[in-house]
Amino acid sequence: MTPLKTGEFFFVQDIALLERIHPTVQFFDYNDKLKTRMWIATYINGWQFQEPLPDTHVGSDSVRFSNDQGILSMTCYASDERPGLVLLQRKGLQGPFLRRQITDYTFPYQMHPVLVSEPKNGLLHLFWSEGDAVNPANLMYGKVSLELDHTK
Amino acid sequence: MNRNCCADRPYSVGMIPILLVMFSLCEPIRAADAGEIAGEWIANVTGHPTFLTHSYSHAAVVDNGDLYFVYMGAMPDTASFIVKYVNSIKQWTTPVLLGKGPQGDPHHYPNLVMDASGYLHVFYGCHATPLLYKRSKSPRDIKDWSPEYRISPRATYPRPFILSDGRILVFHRSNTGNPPQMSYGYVESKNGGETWSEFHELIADPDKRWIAYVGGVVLDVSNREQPVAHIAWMLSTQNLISGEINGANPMGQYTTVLFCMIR
Repeated sequence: MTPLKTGEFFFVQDIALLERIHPTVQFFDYNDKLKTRMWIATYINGWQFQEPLPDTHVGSDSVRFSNDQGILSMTCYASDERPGLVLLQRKGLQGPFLRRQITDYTFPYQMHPVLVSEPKNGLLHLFWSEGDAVNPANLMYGKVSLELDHTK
Repeated sequence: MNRNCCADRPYSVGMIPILLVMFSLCEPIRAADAGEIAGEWIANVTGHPTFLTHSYSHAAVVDNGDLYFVYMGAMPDTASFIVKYVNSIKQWTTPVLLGKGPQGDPHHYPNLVMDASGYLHVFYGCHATPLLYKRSKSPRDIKDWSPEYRISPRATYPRPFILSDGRILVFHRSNTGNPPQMSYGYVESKNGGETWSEFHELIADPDKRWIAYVGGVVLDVSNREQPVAHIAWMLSTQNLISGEINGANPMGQYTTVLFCMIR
């Protein structure tokens, strides 16, 4: 058992194995109630901490991980200049993420995305719900390529 | 069916605490804009407004271009359903009812795995109540299912996995004892869901004060003979008098210690 972070107002969201061997944990720091921070921590001879979305509030209820072929894929709810559900992807342990907008809603009832990879066809499938707080939500589906092009 | 057979414990818990605090020393990462994802509404699929999909759920399976998805329907009965995308005809099927949990509780979301033969296994309908289980009668067919079985007496947050040797593991929180102890562990089937082991405890609650919230479980199967479970969890305090859990709202009173267990 390897403690990652000790203290109050942390919330662990998910875990993936980056490059199939490195545990990568996604968690939130709520100590500043006005500015939630999302972190990922990868264990390589100790915990390596990174903050994928700077200057951005995020909601813990919209976060998932997936990992195939060395690609880290996660969704989160951004509340920056372009709020909504977004997908972040990157290959490897370091460097910038590619960001894709999934929804533009400012009220986060497009929650709890489910990610499933299909490496054989190079696809990442996403499911998420859209609706309001009262009425039954609709199930939404989308897919993206697992081939990441950081040059575009 | 024998639902009480005991199994060997494949996952021992090696406890070597190492406190590492390397925080805030890194630069934030900028994300490059890569456009939008076009979403389509899956016709006839609606559900609970905030738990149609669930962040803890293993809800989707992809198999040769076909997609299978389980979800929780609308209130009041919060029943579980399955729907399939048939790639050969590019269409989603009509949803099929799997079963119901106790009414009005959004914890009862379903989970889905497919074994190597194509049989579908669903786990649903629990919140400190029996973990409900069904298996498809035919491979890759969502129409007909086995009877409903109870495979763990008091479970919450199930997460199923299938290993390369065919074993099915269902990680979940157990709420047994009086007062209930919120331990975390798994049940196991070595025969395709015919019988299930007793609950194997991995994270204990020795003083009845802590409750484990598991954010995720992932299996390292690089060694087929000895797969390893990695679990990320936090501990929250439990009021010993009222039983109230401090911190049901993550913006509220969490008193947490965040761990990653590496075996």
